[in-house]
Amino acid sequence: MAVRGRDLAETFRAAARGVSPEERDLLLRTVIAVVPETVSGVVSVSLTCWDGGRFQTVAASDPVALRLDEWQYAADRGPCVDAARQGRRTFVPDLAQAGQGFAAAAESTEVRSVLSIPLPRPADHAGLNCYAAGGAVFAGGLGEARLELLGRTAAALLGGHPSETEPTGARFEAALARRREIDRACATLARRDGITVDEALRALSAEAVRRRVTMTTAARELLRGDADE
Amino acid sequence: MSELGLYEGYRLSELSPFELWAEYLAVGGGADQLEVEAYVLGILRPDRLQHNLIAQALNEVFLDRGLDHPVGYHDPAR
Repeated sequence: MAVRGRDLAETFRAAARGVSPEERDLLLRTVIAVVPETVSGVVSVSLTCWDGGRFQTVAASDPVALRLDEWQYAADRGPCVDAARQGRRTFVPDLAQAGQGFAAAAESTEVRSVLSIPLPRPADHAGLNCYAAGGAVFAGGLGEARLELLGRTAAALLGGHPSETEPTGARFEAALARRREIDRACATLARRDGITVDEALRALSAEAVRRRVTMTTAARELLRGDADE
Repeated sequence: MSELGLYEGYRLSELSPFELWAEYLAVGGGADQLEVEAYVLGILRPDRLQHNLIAQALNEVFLDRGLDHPVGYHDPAR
């Protein structure tokens, strides 16, 4: 399934605001579907959760992922069980070395390696399982950064409430103070030029980019100029 | 130095995802933290405004470190 940018953007927004159980499954499928599109070498993906009595796959990209997950649940071992149960990243670079049963289960597929990453809170005992065609695809960098973000997004969706705690701290307070100046400048610009506040933000951003100054500098100069008139 | 993309700039900045989002918020951005990270990591494609607000947020951090706008903008005038 090819994921449309709009659906994906809405998935990240939904994860940040919290979702109902009805929305959750569709959004989780979107998260799963985007992994092979954005992480090189990954061919199948799934999401394992512990429901209190057993492991289960709550979303899978295809029947191969489902079958390999279920083999691991039945055997009570394997990367997806270890990641979800023990909360640790588990990488099997070569399935041929992972024991005969698992290797046999994957034999008729193109899967040759597996990475399972545990999901952070609020999703306890859950993991994102990435089945890949080669062993060298999980070498860190951008692909792993993407997996980490998609894992946090899935965790937020599974948790059913916003992923971020209420932001605080000196850096955030300073950011809010700068933001108030930007908002004031945008309101002034919008009123003065008869445009929307969004259009004013675009104009202020374009001005800051053009002159290579900070947004706060552009905003202050605008407010100063407006007061002088 | 050639201009950096958003991901390269983010890596160089050594900001945490939350710190990046706070800086983006400060320059007028309105997207949530997860969405901003998705733009930076190339999972979502930002429009010109989103790209420039994230680039601006990073560049203002770099200005404080004596680096002059290393992250590239979507700038139709250039």
